[in-house]
Amino acid sequence: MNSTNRKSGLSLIEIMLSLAIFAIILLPVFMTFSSGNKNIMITETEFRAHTAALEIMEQIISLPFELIPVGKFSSRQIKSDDPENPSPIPFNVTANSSFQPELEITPVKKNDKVRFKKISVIMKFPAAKTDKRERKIELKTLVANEEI
Amino acid sequence: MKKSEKNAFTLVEILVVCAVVSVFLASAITLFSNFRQGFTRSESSAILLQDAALFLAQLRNDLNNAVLDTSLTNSEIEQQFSVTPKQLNFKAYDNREGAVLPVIYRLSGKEGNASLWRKIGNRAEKELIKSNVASLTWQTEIESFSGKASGTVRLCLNINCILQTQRAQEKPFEIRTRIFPARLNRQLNNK
Amino acid sequence: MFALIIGTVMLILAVSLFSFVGHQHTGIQNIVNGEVAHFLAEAGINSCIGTVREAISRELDQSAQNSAIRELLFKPGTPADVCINNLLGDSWNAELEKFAREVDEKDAEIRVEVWLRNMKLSETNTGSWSDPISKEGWLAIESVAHYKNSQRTLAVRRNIRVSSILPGPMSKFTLFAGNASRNGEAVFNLIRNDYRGTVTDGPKPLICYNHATSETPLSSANFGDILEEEKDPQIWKKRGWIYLGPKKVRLNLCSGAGKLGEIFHFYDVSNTFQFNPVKFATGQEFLPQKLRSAIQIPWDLSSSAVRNVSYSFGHSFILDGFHDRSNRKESEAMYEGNVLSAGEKAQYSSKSSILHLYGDARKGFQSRTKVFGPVVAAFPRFASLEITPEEPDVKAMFDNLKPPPLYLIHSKSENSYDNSIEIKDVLNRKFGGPLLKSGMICENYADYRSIMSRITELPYVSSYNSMQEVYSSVINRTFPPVKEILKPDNLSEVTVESSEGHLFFKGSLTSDKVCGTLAARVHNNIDEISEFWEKFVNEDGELELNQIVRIRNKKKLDFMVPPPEYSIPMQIKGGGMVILENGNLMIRGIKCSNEKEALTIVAPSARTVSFPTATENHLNLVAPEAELSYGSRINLLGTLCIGSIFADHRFQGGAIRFRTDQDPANPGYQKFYKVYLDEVDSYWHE
Repeated sequence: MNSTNRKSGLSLIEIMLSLAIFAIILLPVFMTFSSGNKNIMITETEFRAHTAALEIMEQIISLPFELIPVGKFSSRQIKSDDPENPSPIPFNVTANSSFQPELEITPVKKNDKVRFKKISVIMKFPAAKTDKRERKIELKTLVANEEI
Repeated sequence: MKKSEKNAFTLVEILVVCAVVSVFLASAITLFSNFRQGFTRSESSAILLQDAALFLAQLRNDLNNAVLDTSLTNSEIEQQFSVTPKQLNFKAYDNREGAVLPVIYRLSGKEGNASLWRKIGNRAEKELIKSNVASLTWQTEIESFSGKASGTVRLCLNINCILQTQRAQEKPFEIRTRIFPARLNRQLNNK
Repeated sequence: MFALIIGTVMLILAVSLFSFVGHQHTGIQNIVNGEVAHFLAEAGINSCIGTVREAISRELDQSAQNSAIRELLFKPGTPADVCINNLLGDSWNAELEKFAREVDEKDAEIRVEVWLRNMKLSETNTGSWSDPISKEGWLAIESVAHYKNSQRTLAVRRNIRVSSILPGPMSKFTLFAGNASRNGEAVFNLIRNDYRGTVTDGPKPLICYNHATSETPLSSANFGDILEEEKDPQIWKKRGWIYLGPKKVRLNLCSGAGKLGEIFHFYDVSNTFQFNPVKFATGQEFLPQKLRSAIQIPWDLSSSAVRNVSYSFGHSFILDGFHDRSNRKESEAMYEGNVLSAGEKAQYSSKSSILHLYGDARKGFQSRTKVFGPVVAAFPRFASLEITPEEPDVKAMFDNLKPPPLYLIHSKSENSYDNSIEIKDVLNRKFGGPLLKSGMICENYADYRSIMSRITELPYVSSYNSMQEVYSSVINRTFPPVKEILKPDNLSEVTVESSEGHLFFKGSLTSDKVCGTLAARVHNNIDEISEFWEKFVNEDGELELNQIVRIRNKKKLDFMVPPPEYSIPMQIKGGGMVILENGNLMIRGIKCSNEKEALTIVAPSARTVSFPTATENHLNLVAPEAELSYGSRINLLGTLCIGSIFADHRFQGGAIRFRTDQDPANPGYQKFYKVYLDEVDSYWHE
């Protein structure tokens, strides 16, 4: 009699306990899930940043050697919204407000002649939509002066 | 009798237990189905991202190998690519055969759930994206420069790609970019 | 329990999502890294392609000494894929290493290598031409970049070809006249002799020297060596060959190679100024039946005492090339004693021959050679009946006679033949010889004809073989020659091999087959002749070709080499081959600047070839449909492949000297290869 009473009391505790255990089990499940989700976002942002960087790099190396401008170009110049300081060649980039591209082109001389231009594109972007920490990727290449 | 009386649950007890159990079950089921939905959504958007990345990488690779069609005159530069809403054709150097071959990207299937195919030369056509293309546009863009760069042109392919799975539970994946075939551009300007 | 199941399922889902996303992240990261690697590879190619190109062109430059790459390419056989960075003095990879470090401290790597890839022999068919050195493949500049775990290869490839600039099987020939008989058989000497006798200003033979002579520029040999070589019965394998065909071609070997006169090879020329004719004895089996045993005949001293003497007979003759040192060329210097009938003399004439296949008359200038085709040569054959009395006292009379008795058998036509033709001592002496009439030794005219003097036509091979006997000093020569050294050959089974035994060619040789083989070597096409000169003549007015070019010449203009605005002879600094698709040829003077160069001109559809100047030409000429028209004296060092030769009194003759270094049987043959690197790149990723 007593024991049955005790038993019925224990069953409630059992439920609570199992709930607790359940919660403990679910916690890593949710953590894994959300980190997976976050990873998707990071990958996506990186991919977009990379695509945007490629777009800039490719349009520069598509130009004849002598038309490749030398110098540093700010994000605003590249996005063509700096009317006071226009770039010597028109850029043609797809609009994306969250990316901050930078471009630096340095000439490499040999025997007083520009033999190469070193092109470096840096793309700065927030790690994810909800994560405002700044990340960056960098692309570099050399273009040779074929006239020499 | 007495014993049985003592052993019986009270109505309140049963009700409480039933409530607790059903609340628990209901929340567990909701949680599970939400979780399932979340999983599907995440998985779909991951798949779409992967599809887009592979497609762009493949197209970029092909465009890197794109070759100037020397039979065209200067005024026909746009025709380096023959572009229709359903199809994109150009010529590219193929490593395996060591020759210039036609490359064809082709959309097929239902509007909003199209598939993307790629074919090079006479080799079998391959499906790059299966039924997940909500919309895909490709347009050639030619910039002609002025001033000291006059005479120079720059050609690019403007891509706008929206992908969504058939279940459409996830946010559509959209990417827009321009691809500049660098070597083809150099050939154009040396023509 | 239920909770546990849901929990587990969710856990599995979550973990699988996590790992899927992880994988995908790596996948996309790889794509991204791949693009970075692409730009690194691009940087690699861009930064060193100029340097690499310079190094390659320096190494491939025709004038480069001891180029290891050329040596590699000129090795017979197929080279396996090989990286040639070390042969180019790799200076670029160290710089690229620096650039890679700048991009990423540890995860970036660029390396540019130059490879010879997929090289394979390009001419392998012995039925057209099998060349152990000609090959083609790719010269690949490959930039391999690694970034993190991604790798991209960017390759710039150019077609590279090694081909001979010599005219394939034709390089074995001094003269190849494919239509010398102009398809008419038995027409007299369609390599035209001036048998009508209209030559007024002296003989103008075209002489073929099939060996090196001390006067041959670029490959002079000394007398001693040439004479030494003559002892080898197989020497014909190492000399230029001649083809005259396709039908019967008659050569008339007549008087007159200038001051020395022509000493045909049946004269022993051990002393240049003393000519000893070579006598051939006729074998018993070739004599008429009656002559094979002794005959009782009255002797010629019948005025003193009639006596029948028993005489036995032999027969011999001298095959006579014409030797005329006298000033009676216009008359009948070589027909001394009126031995030959007037009819024969009229038919074959005594005037100049224009084709002189054996070379010059001088010692050391006579070529023994292989002549293909049904070529026959006409020789005067002075036949004598050798009479030996069997009675000792009469024999003593014979022996005491000075000069010894000589019974020449005069030539007779069938009409003028009868049984009573007297056969007597050439000086009409009477000394105990037989009172001999033709009927006593011959049954009929056929018997007589077989032993009489006449102008005889021999297949060229037979005369060549006889010549071998002269050279090998066979005592007691009989005719036909003891040993057949060469067999008649109509060009259907030609074999060309190197001295090391490589088989270049075997089979029937036709000029269109040769033209096809040569056309397949073309590196570059050009439309106009003017474009050709603009492109390949350097500032010093020298031809720098170094490749195999086809000129389309749709306007069918004459290809004048060199054109009038350049001085002659034009120097060849870089040899090569020109294939002229249309138009005729005028060759005005071309000279190779050194013994490593050669020029071959192929004109498959030219109708005429002329040499308007007497300047020397170092040239191989293949124009199988063309006629060599009259112009100036021909002075050619190389090979002449032509349809026919138009030779009348306006034809100036000249000399074709075989260039022995071009002979495939000579190891010097390997000098004449050119490496051609395509001017256009092919790019791609891998």
